[in-house]
Parts: sequence; structure tokens; C-alpha cells
Amino acid sequence: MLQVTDLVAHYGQFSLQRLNVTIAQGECFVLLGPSGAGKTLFLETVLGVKPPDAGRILLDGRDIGRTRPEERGFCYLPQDLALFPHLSVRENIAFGLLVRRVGPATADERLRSIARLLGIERLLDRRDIRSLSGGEKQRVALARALVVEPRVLFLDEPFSALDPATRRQLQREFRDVWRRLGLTVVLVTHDHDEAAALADRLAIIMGGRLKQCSAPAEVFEHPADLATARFLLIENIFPGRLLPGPSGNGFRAAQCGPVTFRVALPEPLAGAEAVHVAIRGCHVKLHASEARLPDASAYPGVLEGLTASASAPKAIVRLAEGIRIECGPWPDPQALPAPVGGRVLVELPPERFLVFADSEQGEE
Amino acid sequence: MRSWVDWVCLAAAGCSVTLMVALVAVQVGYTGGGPALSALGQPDVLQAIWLSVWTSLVGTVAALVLAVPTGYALARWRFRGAWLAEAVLLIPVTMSPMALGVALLLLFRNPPGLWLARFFVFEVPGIILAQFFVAYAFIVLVARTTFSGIDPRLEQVARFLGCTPWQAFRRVTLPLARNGIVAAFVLGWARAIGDFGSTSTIAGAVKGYTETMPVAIYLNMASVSIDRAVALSVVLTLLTIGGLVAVRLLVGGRR
Repeated sequence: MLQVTDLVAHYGQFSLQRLNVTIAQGECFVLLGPSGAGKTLFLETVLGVKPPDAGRILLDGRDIGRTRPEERGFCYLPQDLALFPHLSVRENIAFGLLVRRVGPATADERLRSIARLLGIERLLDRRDIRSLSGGEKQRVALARALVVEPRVLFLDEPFSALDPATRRQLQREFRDVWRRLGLTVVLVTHDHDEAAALADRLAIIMGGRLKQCSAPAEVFEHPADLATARFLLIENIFPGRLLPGPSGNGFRAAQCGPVTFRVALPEPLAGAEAVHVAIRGCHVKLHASEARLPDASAYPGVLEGLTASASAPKAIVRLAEGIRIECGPWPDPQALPAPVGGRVLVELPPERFLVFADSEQGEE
Repeated sequence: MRSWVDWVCLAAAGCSVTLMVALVAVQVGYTGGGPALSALGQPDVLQAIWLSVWTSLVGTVAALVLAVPTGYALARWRFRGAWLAEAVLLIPVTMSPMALGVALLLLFRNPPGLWLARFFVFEVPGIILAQFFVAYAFIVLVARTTFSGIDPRLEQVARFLGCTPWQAFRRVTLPLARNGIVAAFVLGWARAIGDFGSTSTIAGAVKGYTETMPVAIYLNMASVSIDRAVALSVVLTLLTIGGLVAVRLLVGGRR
């Protein structure tokens, strides 16, 4: 188990502010944040590349905060993979074994076994690593890291340079390999899909602070604050104010411009007035204008079209001037309940709304 | 299809090569080859060649030993005033060789330099000292540029694979810097073997004793033995060209 307690580190004017993380054995822990959030600084501090200003780093209860990088039992896969350009594929993979003076027979056996696991046996005799494709380089870099049997594997946006199809394929393959080996993995990324695809547990870091840490579904469904919601690309976010008193069925009314939304209000926000309300596009449903829906969740609007996206287009509905809702993904444009420009009924379940008090917007 | 920029570059390269070939050709043409060959058989010429070769090699190797770690430090470490440190280290490149020789001489004015003067001033080790300084700055400059071009992350990854800092340097950075370091050595050596100003200032131009090839060329020119001066000049030119070609063959084949 890897425990990071009250970690403080700085790079120039930027600093990590008392980060606390516990990563279980065999877990894939993903740190998700925008560029400049402190992901790489966190990684480099835990890896021992940069000294921490304060805090403790414990590996299975042993404080490794002051030990040298090569003594921590970690391995690291940077964004650019850092394959050694003067070595062949075989020499790259066997590098760690050579340094650790593993006997030739054992080294060869481990090298072949890891190459078989990653499907790169045919690449072992390649002299020039520059002749490898992006995906092959990824596999070789992972093999080089895994062959030394690290206690924890750290990855810094390792798939970012790949085309989407290869990225998805490698993410699946790598996750299977980690699970099969029971490896503890810490991955930092700014890619939401990658985080969702790989994480057993997901932490959001912004401005050097850890905003949230839990199962990926929980993080995506219930962002900790408005800044996190915006970073997680929640499509529909509107500023407004809570109207006093209940609006029926125990819901509260939030006035956002000309539209009044019925929202289920979390208890701590009962006294708030200025708020932002948000709802994910995937929780919004579209119906024909004559459909019968519960009053609390039905909003009439005009279908304006679909967003431009090859894989997940969303329907855009105008509820009123300045208030547009994205619904979907809507994979089949033919299945829309009305033609573009036609009237529709939008279903916005009150319990799916997120409400953020403006006094707690969070740091972006 | 080539643009006009390509043609301008090609023309510039062609002019440069022609100029350099002309520089060698006029020397060979003047002596007609015969005097150069006959000068090579004379003991004082051979002694000047031998003195130049071994002192320049010793001076350049010593400079390499100090300059490579310095170049690495300049490339890798970020510290306040790094630019100033770099500028100070490169002073010998910008200084006139004669001024460098004078500065070296002044080092020996006060203790402990005064005591060391007997080993260096007008002595063969003085030649090595002057050549060391002349080569050092060149090697630092090239080594720094070479190390700056190598991703420090490679060393970091090597550390996580079990290397100590020295092992990471030796197994990863040094092999990648090999071509640059060899080039730095040859440039430094070519500059050292051809140095006259600082060498003659500190070690003097003592015939048959501190008479390196450039000094011999100077002494022969001063005594109007033009044939011998030009012959020595041809030999010096061929030696440096030979060194450059040898390195090109050694390094170029492994790119």
C-alpha cells in the first residue's frame, strides 16, 4: 500500500497543498486534472525526482520520502516513453535486469515471458527502436518497466500521443495485463475517457489541491464543486438563484434566467441563494411535444439540431432565450422525436440536478 | 524542386569548400610537394611534429576530463547566475591567444605560482598548460550543447530501472553523447595543436626545446626559410585534416 500524507511540494510559484492519498495494493489509481494542476509535480515528488517540502510517503508502512529513486521499487513510464535510442528493443527491455545483475538465464526467461504477455516477441530482434510504431513503442516501454517487477508503476499520460483506436486498444490490453499481474498502478492524465476506462479509483486535482477521490462513476456523477463540474465537462450548467420555499413534491425551484428548474436540493445548501445548477446531458431525455410527463421534470423547448461530433452527437434544445440544453449522446439522428426546428418536451429529472452554491465555487 | 534558398545555401557551401581547398592547395603548390617531403625527414622537423602531437594530446585529454563534467553540469543544473558561470568558462574562446598566454604568465607571479613557475614557464609543461586552456573552452562549449540535446528523462527512467546516478550517466547519457564528445575532443585538439600565441608566450619559442610546429613555422618564417615554414604548415594542415577524417570515419559510421 502506498500512502501519501500531507504532501507539500513546489515548482516555482506553484505548489501542491497538503495532498493525502492512499493507494491499495493492486489498485489502478488515476489522478485526473487539467494542465498545470500539479499532476506531474505530484508524480515526480512521490517518485523521488523532486524532494517534498513537507509530508510523508509510505510504502507498506516504510517511510520512503528520503530514499533515492532507484531504491523505492517504483517504475515510471513518462509521456514520451523515454526509450533508450542507442539500444535495441531487447536491450531496452533487459536494461533494468542488466543493471540489477540478474543472471543471463533468468533475465532471458523473464524477458521472453514479458514479451509474450505483451505480444512483442517478434520485435525483440529489432535494432532500431525508431522503426517501431507508436503502439509498439508503448508495449516495449511497458515491458521494460514490468520486467523489473516494480512495486508500483507510475504512468504520466502514456497514451496521449496515440491515435484514438490504438489508444483504446492499448488501454484495454494494459489494464488486463496490470490486473493479471496484480500490479499497483498510478496514472496521471487529463483525458476523462482514459480516466473512466482505467481507474479503479479516481482523484481530481486542480490548482495543487485534491478536490475529490472516489470511484470513477461517483466522481463523474457528483463533482465536488462547480470548478470540478466544469472540468468534467458537465454540459448543462446555468447560474441562477434558489427561490424561497418548496415548489411541490419536496423540490426547490431555481430561477435561471427565464426558466425555473425544479431541483432536489442537498441539505447543506438549504440556506444558499446564489447557485449554479447543472445536469449531465446523459440524464436528459427528449420526448415528442405531446408526451405526458410528470410536471416536475417536463420542460417544453425547440429542437435546434445536433452537436458536431463523430462519435457522440448531442441534441440541442432551446428552452428559452439564452437557455440551451444538450441532451444525449444521441447516436441516431433519425430517432429524434421531432424535426429540427420542431417543438419537443425535455425531461430533466429533479434528482439528477447538481446544485453548487456560488459561495463554494472551488478553485479552477 | 529546389527553391532559391536551397541554391543560395548550395552556392555558399560551394564557395566555402573552394576557399578551404584553395588554402591547402596554395601551400602544396608553393612547395611543389618535394620540399615538404624532404623537410619531413629532418630531425628538428620530426621533433617539432612529435612535440606538438604528444603535448596537444595530453593537454586535450586533460581538458576533456575537466570539460565534460563541466559541460554536463551547465546543461543539467539550473541555478542563479548559470549564464555568468558559462560566460566565465568560455573566456578562453573569446580571448586573444596572446592575451591568454599573458594571463597564464601572470598566474606565476605570486606564490604558489612563483614556485610552480620553474615547471611551466619556458618549459614543455607550459606548452601543455597553454594547450589545455585553449582546448578546454571549446570542449565545454560542445559538450554543453551535446548534453542539452539529450532528454534528462532518459536518465530519470534509468534511475527507476535501478541505476545509480553514475550508472545512469555511464549507461545512457554518455553513449548518447559519444559523437558530440568525440567531436569536442577533435575540435579542442585541432585548436591546441595549432596554437601559437599562448604557447609561445608561456613556454617561449626555444628552438629544439619548446619548438612546437606553429613555433617552428614562426621561427622559420623569421629566418626566411620559407620552404621549411610552408612544408611544416602543410604537415600541420594535413595532420588536423587527418584527425578530422579519422573521427568522421569512427563516429560517422555509427550514426
